[in-house]
Amino acid sequence: MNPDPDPATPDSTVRVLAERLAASGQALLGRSLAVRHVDAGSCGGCEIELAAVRVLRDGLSRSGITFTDDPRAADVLLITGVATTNLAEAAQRTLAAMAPPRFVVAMGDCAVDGGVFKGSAPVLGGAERILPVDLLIAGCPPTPRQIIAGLLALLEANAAPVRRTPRRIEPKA
Amino acid sequence: MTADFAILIGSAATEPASPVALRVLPPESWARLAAGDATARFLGLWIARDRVHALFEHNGSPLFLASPLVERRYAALSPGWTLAAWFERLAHDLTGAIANNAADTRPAIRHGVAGTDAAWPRFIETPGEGFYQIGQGPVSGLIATPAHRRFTLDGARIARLEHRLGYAHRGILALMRGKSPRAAARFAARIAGGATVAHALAFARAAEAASGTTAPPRAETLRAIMLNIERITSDLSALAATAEAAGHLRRATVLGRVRAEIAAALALVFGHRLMMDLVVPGGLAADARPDEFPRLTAALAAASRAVRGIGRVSVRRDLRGAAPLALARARSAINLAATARDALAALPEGIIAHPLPAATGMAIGAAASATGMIHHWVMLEAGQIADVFVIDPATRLLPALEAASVGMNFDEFALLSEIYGISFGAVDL
Ligand code: SF4
Repeated sequence: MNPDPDPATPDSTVRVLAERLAASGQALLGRSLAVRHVDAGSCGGCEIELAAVRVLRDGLSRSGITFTDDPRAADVLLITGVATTNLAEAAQRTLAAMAPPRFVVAMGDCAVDGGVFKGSAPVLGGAERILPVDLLIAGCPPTPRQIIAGLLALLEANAAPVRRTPRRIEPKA
Repeated sequence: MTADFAILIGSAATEPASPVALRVLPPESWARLAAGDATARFLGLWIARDRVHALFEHNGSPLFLASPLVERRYAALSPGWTLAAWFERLAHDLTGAIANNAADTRPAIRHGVAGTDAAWPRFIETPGEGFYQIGQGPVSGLIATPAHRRFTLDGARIARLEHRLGYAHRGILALMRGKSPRAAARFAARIAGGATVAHALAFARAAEAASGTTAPPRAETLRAIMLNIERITSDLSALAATAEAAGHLRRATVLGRVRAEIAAALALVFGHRLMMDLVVPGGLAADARPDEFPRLTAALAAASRAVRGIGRVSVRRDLRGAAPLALARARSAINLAATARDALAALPEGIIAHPLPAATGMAIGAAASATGMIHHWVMLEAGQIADVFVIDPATRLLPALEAASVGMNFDEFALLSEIYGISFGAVDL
């Protein structure tokens, strides 16, 4: 059999996340996520898959995930690329402009732990070196379904400790 | 001047390199290059082994020149070749070598320490009343790009645009040095995700030529197919982004989806949606799965159909200044899809890689990305990378985009910027 061209994140992610979020005491108000993307020093591969996420047939509109370029309207800071010295300050400023509750998702091996660039002089390492990270989505780059699954896991984990209701998410206008 | 250029080069001493010999000019001759020459095209400049190197295209073939540094100095080429300015700045950042009479002596990017702004290259200030400046970045756009743009505006029109780069500087050249070509290939593949095949291939070709070997025929054919398909996906990405910037959201979604379907097919055929890490020095890291070719050819056919709409009068009108390039990219995608389909049908059998002998030598490898030729210069010593330099077409496209933006308003510039599809990471390295 061929490998699945686009495998998703396993369900266990949700449980781990729920524990992390409960521990951090953060809770989202609604059931939608507005995502602000920051490229901290990527090769552009992760951005290609982000663009693919935006056009997935059953992706964004059903899940209630939207992208925004306004940090004040964002719930999630999605960081791609290895954290370079040169972009660290801009990434931190973007997070500072976001109102709580706010979450940081590190997407791609570079953002997870520095990836192949780990230890290079002009880089600091993974996103955790510059921001508090709530969720890691591994892959070089992660596939669109892995990205969606990661973001959905954030929504579900966030809902889990409060009340388990059937998920009905209206897309944001 | 043209004859002068030819004479200068003709009288130079040569040293072995591939695909053309390295011509070593005495400093006095090198200095005369600065006058420029209409018959040659400048590609890049770098310092290595106490020499300044430059790569040109001359009469359709590569021209590879060097000259010894004198007290860490060399004559700048930027007075006659404006594109050389970026490389002279970078060379100074990286090695401290000084270009005499350089057109621009600011640092190229910030190589300094976190929290200090002192090492950032300054923007050029605009003299005179009536102009104002607007900054954008380094976090801007729904899918952000890591560059800081400074627009100087005259009313609503752009009078000058300048980019500050370095936000995606990962130290790639330093990471590649001292490694085997096989180990360094992982970095070449991550210079620019949208041109991962092209960079890996330019690097592999350089490493192979420097080791006196080649890839087997099946690998060569598959590499050409992969390169073509990567160019198509890159064309589709740029066209989708341009259509979105023009407010053609449905068209943007359709283009994005045909691109994603090619990626899904590539995952089945090659095991990776972007074909990352497949091209390695000596050949390929894995063979293709011919049973999945039909899905790939169907995806390519769908892409050819999707880009035809770019030619419509109504679309061209809305793409404004970006229309000629959009049309060129659409046509290119159609032609490449046909070529890839034919090549898939005539794939030779055989092995996919040759071992790379631990050799000593110097070579330049080239491969075509969607935005132009990529060049890698590699110097091997006993099978290790003693030195390397990378030239991405983005270094030529950025000044072209800055020049083309003059007189445009923001909306029109946004269209042009998307169709250029510049990878900043490929400049930052
Ligand atoms: S994780 Fe891979 S695809 Fe993403 S930025 Fe890093 S090298 Fe590029």
